Amino acid sequence: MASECFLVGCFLGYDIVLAAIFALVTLALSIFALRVSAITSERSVKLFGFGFLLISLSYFAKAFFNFLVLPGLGSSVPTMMKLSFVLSLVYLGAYAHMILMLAGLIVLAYMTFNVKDARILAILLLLGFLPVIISDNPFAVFYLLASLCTLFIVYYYVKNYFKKRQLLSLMTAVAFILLFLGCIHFFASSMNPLFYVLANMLELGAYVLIFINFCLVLRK
Amino acid sequence: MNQKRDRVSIINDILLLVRSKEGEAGPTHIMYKANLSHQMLSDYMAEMLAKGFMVENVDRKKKRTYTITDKGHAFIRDYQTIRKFFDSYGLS
Repeated sequence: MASECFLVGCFLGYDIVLAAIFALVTLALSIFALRVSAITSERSVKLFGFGFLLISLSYFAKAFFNFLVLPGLGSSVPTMMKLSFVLSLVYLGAYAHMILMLAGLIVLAYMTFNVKDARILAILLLLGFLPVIISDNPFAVFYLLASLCTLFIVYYYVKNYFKKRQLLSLMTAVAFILLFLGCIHFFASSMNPLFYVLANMLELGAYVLIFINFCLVLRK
Repeated sequence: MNQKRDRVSIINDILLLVRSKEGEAGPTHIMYKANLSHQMLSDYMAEMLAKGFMVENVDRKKKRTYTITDKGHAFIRDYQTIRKFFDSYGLS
């Protein structure tokens, strides 16, 4: 994320707004899911709610830390001290975003496995976090792991669509396919910054679909 | 009914059954009409009582009946939304 912040400087303000929008959409969905889980006591709904809550927090972290560093990046001649402070904030925000997003995606992927063993979730979380923390290139590892998790979720939702054959389940499947493509583009963004913009656009498409879907669910 | 019912559908079915009996029904009636085993009925009734969807009444002859509460009526009202949510996100 640090290199992206510098490479796609002109897009930085917009991606803060997008991250804030994604955070609000996922927060609304998670609150609704957690309320439904309180009524129905369905374990899958609780996991779905917590998964989206973690994803929401990851976007809040991204928006918040990028917002903090925005004035620092904008100044024409940054001092060494200021630059080092800005970089610390960038890395803090990046790690918060990566860990929370991975946790959310792993919880969602775990939900799709339909297994009841907290140890499986614990090992999945550890296997997800460790490579990101110890890797020399945490961003590439993060996007790779996020792509893999999203791929499992896509498989589940495509299967769900063929089982239900409803517009709403189709929208969910397409949304997760867009999120998966977004992850791939984020992964490729180190090669070409244009992919970072494309990835954000794909994510926007995904969350617009999720939001419309959510509104259709709530419509009486 | 070809598909296996999930927990939420069964709870909704039980509540609809009780509502159709003017808001009050006995356990045997619920068990047969909802097509549940005795054990399943006990589990579901315990959960629904704990959630406040129904209240248990015992008369002088120790005959038990269940009455649907406002929370139970609210569940029936919200069931279609919950169902749509479950179906679109592959939950339950």
